[in-house]
Amino acid sequence: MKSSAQKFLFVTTLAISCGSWAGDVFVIAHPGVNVAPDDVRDVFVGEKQLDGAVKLVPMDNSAAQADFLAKVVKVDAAKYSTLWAKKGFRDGVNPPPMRGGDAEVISAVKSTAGGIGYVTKAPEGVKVIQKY
Amino acid sequence: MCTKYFRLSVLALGMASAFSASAQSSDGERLKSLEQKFGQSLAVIEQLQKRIVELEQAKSGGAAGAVASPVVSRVETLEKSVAELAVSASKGSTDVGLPLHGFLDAGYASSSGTPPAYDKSGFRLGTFDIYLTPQLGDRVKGLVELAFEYGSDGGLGTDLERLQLGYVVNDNLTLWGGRFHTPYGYWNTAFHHGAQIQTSITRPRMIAFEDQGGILPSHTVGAWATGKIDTSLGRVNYDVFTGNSDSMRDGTLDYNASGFSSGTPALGFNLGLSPKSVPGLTFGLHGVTEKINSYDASAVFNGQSTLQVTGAYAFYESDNWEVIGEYFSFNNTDNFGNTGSHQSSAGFIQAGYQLGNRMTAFARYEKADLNKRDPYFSLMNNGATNFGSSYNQSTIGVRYDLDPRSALKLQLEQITDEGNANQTVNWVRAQYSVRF
Repeated sequence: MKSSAQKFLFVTTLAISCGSWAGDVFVIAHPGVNVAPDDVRDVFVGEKQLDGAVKLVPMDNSAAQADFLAKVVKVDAAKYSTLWAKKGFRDGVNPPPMRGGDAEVISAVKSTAGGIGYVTKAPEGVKVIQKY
Repeated sequence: MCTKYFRLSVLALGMASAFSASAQSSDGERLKSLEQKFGQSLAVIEQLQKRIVELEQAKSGGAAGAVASPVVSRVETLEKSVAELAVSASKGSTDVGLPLHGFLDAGYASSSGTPPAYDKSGFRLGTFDIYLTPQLGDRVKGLVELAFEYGSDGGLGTDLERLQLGYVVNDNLTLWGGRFHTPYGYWNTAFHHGAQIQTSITRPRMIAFEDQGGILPSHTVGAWATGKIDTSLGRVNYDVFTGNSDSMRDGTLDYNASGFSSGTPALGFNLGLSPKSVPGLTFGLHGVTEKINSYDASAVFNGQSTLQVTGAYAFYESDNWEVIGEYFSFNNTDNFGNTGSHQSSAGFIQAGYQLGNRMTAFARYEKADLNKRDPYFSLMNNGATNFGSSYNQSTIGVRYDLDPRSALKLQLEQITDEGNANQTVNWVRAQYSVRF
């Protein structure tokens, strides 16, 4: 019985892990944001701060950050952290706040003018800028 | 592989459910009782549904139109309230308070031979540097940096490193006013007091801080326009600044926080290109000019020079490589002794290569060939310090990142300094640095 439960736990964990390896990343934004897919990287490294008159508010997602950094920013988490340390020190720009998961990001993007984030599943009620 | 394991997981879930059902099969009577109660509940629900339908039918008809108007009005009011709440909530969520960041370092240095007066062997506290980056509005921001450090005389120095107020005009232009790191080359604005983000332990001596042997102003009080423009060739980065000209007091540059002393402003620029064809590379030109009054230890005026520096720089960063090179060409004019113009030059190149995930090996060569007849440099050598002398230095070292926010560094240097009787002095330095 104990052995079966352990196998079940192992197999389930593995199945979930396999799913997240190849996870899609959807970059989403507040309906009023018009950022081109080519500009998404610049938004998340502090090079693009405005969308017309609107101040952009990027936010990271702990549940999807690894995939997002690999696919969009093209750095790992350590280099992303260093990149922001340098950017903040030189230009006085603050790094995106870290959100706890898709639901939190979607809620924050919906309620924040200029909000832009990324999630693992295509949500409703927000603008999808690009799927990676 | 994933599909196979997924099937196995479903099978395991089914088996677990079967075990659970088997354990409850002995409670047959209890189950029967629950089924009866469930049936009764369903009957009650059906009755309630019927009653609702009857009430809705009774309400429909002529009264519907009269009722709709106030309902619509209330819904609209509610929608407006929700929209207002959303706007209010969005303002709150972008308020990040007053972000505080900083750097700390401590280390050890040991030399062979007789080191210059401003650099001693032994354990040393480095710099405790804190900076705030308040976002004061959608386009208004601030940058305030305080540095605490012990000098070679053991005295604690407190310095308001930066006090900048900025306005983001658009993504291509930000205007700053206040005291800022003078934007020439790459190193001075990129690392400055940020020991942990700097690969090596020490800065190249030619761009050392003013009170540590620096021959260039590393801070300016004034106005600074900075930004970038995307072109077909790549990204053009630019800085243009003006500010108070420095003074030289007892051989050390002073950035003059409260006005000019020479009557003319400092001017400078930094223009770089990050070509699309070579990701990670930036190269460019820079220049600084200002009129600098000199005063001796008794604050008696003893000279005036026009500092005129032009040069070039390059920076390259990839997954493994970091290469930085800067070159400065001086064409200073003596306005007091009328000895004319004097040419000098200085430059460095540093390369770092990341070995694995945490280790980086680096090497640097730097050389300054400074004209002794130029009063700008000769006045920097006041007996106690030998700032402003020609030298060459070779440096090698390793850096080990304990985690993304802390690093251990070990560095070996060999420096031959004309201002130190042309002695060759070897240094071993170690440093532990963190950022927060």
